[in-house]
Amino acid sequence: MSSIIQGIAASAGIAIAKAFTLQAPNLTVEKRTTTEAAPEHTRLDDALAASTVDLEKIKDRALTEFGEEQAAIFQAHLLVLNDPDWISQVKDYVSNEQVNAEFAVQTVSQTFIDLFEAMDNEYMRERAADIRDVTKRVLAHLLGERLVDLTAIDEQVIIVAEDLTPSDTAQLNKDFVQGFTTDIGGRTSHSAILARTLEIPAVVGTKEATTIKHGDTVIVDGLAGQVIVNPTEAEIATYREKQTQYSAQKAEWAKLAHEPSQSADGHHVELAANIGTPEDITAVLEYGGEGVGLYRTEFLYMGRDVLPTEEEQFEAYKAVLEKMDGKPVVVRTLDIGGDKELPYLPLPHEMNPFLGYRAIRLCLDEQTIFRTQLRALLRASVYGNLKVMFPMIATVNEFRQAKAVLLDVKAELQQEGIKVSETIEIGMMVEIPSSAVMADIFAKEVDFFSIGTNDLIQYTMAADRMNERVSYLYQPYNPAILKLVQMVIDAAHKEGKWAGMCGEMAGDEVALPILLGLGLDEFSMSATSILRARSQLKQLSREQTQAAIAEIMTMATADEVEAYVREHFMTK
Amino acid sequence: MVSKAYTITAKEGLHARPCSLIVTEAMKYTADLSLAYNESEKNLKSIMAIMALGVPHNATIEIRANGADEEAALEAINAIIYAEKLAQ
Repeated sequence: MSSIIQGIAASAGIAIAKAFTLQAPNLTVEKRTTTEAAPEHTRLDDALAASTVDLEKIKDRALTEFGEEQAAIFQAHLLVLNDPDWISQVKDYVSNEQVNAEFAVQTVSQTFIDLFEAMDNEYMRERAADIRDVTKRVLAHLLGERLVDLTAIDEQVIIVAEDLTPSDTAQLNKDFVQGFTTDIGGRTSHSAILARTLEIPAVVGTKEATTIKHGDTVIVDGLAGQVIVNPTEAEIATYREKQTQYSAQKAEWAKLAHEPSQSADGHHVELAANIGTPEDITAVLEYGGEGVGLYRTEFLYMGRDVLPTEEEQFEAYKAVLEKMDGKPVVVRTLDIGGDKELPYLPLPHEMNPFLGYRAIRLCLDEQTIFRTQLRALLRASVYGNLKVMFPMIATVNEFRQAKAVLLDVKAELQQEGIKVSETIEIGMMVEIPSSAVMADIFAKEVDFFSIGTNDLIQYTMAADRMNERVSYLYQPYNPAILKLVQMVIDAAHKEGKWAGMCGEMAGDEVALPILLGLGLDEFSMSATSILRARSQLKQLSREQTQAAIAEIMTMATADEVEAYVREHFMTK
Repeated sequence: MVSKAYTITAKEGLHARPCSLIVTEAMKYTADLSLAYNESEKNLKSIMAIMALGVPHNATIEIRANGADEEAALEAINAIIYAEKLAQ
């Protein structure tokens, strides 16, 4: 019997191989008292020497396999390992407390780990992981435990682990490691980024990957974010087929990376990407994104203990704008509150977080936070083509207020003699039905609209898509949604403005022909969907999709719409 | 003993990368090397001690060297500080 484990699709592709479980060695340290310090000091020196040999090897391997940047991580590990202060503190601890070397190593390291983890700089906090990694290695040598030697793998495997440390991943041999799956981590964790660099499929954050046994046959579906354990023959055959299709398609799509996004009859639209961090730009450019249609700035605020400073934000925005090199970058101002909580910004518990105090509502109230972000954004504006949009706008007044704050911050910066771009477009997300209905009025005041379909659908249908019992109401093709989208696009065009879409619907195969027909100007999706969309677009005639709109708009149900689109525009 | 003072003009302060370079260089010398900042003085050969200082933008620091090859050590560290644009 096969079983399926659901996780986060961190790196696309499909891999089928035997599981290689990366079991953490038992590094439990017992405290022993010893009156003689000298033998313990010798044991420590031996363990340090052995660890140095290990790390030198890993560093060399990292240098040839991954390049300078990865190798630098291990150079830093070697510095930690040979840190004279740390070594003398460990030795003093052995002598003064009359304990064994293991216990001293663990205690002293922990004080450093705590120190770094308490720092208010994220980069420094991550250094705690380096110390932990080095400490593990020294302890393994002291305890006579063997750290799993990944370099010894000589057959095709899928790595299964709770998490992968930088030193684990640097040892991975690309020829044999087909993919991996972990219990923890997200799309931006170290291991996920590395999987994408190596172009091997990965599913992370599964919570239960480590229940997989060593030697089990495993399918890692990095497209759907699933891991199939002990698949049946039939399942293996299905996935082999998917695998072949995926590589053929990938090769086909790759040719489109530098082609324009054009319909068969020559109509150009912009295919842009949704991003969360500056690092995501690499993929955007690789997949031929023509812009960033949604930069979710929340990630700058999450996973930390204090608000990000103006300087930190400025650096991030500047990096994105510079890397995009003049291509449009639409930055959404902070969308936090409701279900997304920040530990340092306590908010009262709400009955209906999605209908509550969040996004622009919070920002207009907590203006210090809002102004800091706007200062950073406007300062960065001279480094590229910045467009700013406000989330969760329900009324014209909210938009006016938000824009007024932005203009005030701009004046303030100019008074300080700081340059601000004069061509920043100011727009809004359309995700609340009231703003879609009022789009004709909004269109006179905004520079652009970006339709956030995930929320627009939920709010229009009054259904939480995470709630399984009502998730059937999450219907992107429901005529009610299509009519709202049409109103927004038409309203924008009437005033000579542009309309984009940054929800999941923008990257949807069935929605694409409809949106093309409706005249959507910009489609923003995950970077990995861009080439697929570009390839689909090439097959479509804009004129034909336009002609179909009138008929589609007379339909009664989402199913009718979908069947019609599949029949007329998705011949396969 | 020889020493030299700097004002850190790099925006990120004494960041991890230059820290690694400085400590790697410092280890090549027999002289005692230290970094003084904010009334504390730390061993320049200890990456953890130096990074834990968290030297920010605009801080004034002093590099001190004491031992047989102190001149050469100070000269080498000085070169890295300028090459990495930590100070001007």
